[in-house]
Amino acid sequence: MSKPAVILVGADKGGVGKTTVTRTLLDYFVAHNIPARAFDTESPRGTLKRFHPDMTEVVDVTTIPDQMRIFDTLAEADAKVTVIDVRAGLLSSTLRALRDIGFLDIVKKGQVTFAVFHILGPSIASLDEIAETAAFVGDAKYFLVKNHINNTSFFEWDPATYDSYFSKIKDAVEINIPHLNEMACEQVEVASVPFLTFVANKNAGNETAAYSFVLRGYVRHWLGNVWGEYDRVKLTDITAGR
Amino acid sequence: MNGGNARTPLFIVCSPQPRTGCTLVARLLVDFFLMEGRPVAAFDFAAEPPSLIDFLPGYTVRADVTEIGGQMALFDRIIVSDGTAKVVDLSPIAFQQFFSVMSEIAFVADARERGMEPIVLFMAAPDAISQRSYSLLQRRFPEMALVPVYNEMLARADRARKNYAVLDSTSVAMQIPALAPLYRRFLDQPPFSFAAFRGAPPDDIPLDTYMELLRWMRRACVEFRELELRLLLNDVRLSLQPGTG
Repeated sequence: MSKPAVILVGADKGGVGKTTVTRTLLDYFVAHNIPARAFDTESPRGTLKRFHPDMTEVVDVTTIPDQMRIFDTLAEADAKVTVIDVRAGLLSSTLRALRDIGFLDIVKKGQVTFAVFHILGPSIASLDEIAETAAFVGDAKYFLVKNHINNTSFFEWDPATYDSYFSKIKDAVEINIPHLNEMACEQVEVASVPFLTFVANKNAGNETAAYSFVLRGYVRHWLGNVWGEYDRVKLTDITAGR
Repeated sequence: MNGGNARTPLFIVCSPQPRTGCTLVARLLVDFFLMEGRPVAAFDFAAEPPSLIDFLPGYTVRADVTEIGGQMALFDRIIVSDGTAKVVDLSPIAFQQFFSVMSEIAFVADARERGMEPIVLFMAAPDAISQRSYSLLQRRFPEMALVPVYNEMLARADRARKNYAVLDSTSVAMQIPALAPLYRRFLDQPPFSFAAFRGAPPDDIPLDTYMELLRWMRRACVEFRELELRLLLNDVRLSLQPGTG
């Protein structure tokens, strides 16, 4: 059996699009027939679970029983990839907890593939997060994700400052999530279905829906570009442990 | 386009340049369907009168793709394969954005999947911008019929033929016959329907003028019928290809 992969999606700041990125990842794995499961740490009510109810469990990642639900089941779960959508403000503490329970050690030994998707906001505070996170991700695949879905302009960053932070993490790779038309984004939210389901014009019950063709077209185009980024960083190779 | 099992046509009459005869072709096309007794809906991008909606108000709605609401109102309507032919009179101002949206939402592939046949009727003008835009469209939408339309009323249009390459049998060039200004003035006062005009000659038009206008309309309609036949033959040819069962 191939080794399991864990992907942590997080940021220390809220509203930067962690759950959106997690949703694109889950759709990506579904489209590539890679069995995946997800944990939504927005306990007790998870946003991710609303979109992917069949593959998502809501957990409180700060409690030991829920840490056990996630990490003690990595080897026996049917899912090859475990995606954890970390609640805002908990990225550093979650990484610290992973170190404390010895998870980072088994990553170091090569028994588990570990990737961190660090979603960056437009502020300088986001850059400070990089430095803070760097201490924990030595053996992880580390992705700095610039999320432009809401037309975020990373106006507070000057390239030199960004580069100096970026270089603090060896082998960090940048991923850009492009802008998605606001109305298209909003309609997927209202539909409460995965992006793929929206594109296929289906509702949560898998019945034909009446979504706008134009909005579906925009979502399809956008999702294609996001997946293009995942292909560029060879995400399927990473989750396959290659 | 000919009823039966054929695809529902969507004509996009366009030019990146003003005053090439787009609206005249769109008017003729809408009236062609009306004369044939076939359902048709038209979409008008022009901002200034007289435009398609002024000539054929009963069959035309305004269109605009600058905002997402307008894009939805247009594209969500024209992709419906309901047996109603659609005619879009695309203004030069909306030209770029219309095709950008079309490309981004992968309109052509989806439209064809739903039984629509998008056909661009491109006003083949002799200027460089038109020629470049034609080539770009050809490259950008290789799966869509792109038909150069030579308007004989446009000076030197015919001389540009070598710059408007046609890549398949469907896209054979069309010709809009010339009409003397003497006769044109009868057609240029909105509202005006060629279909209604044919059925009921106005009292204030001399008989020989009326006959000449009918001859001109017939020649234009022959062009549309030939295009219709080419599309039908293309459909038949595709259906006979192995694996398309």
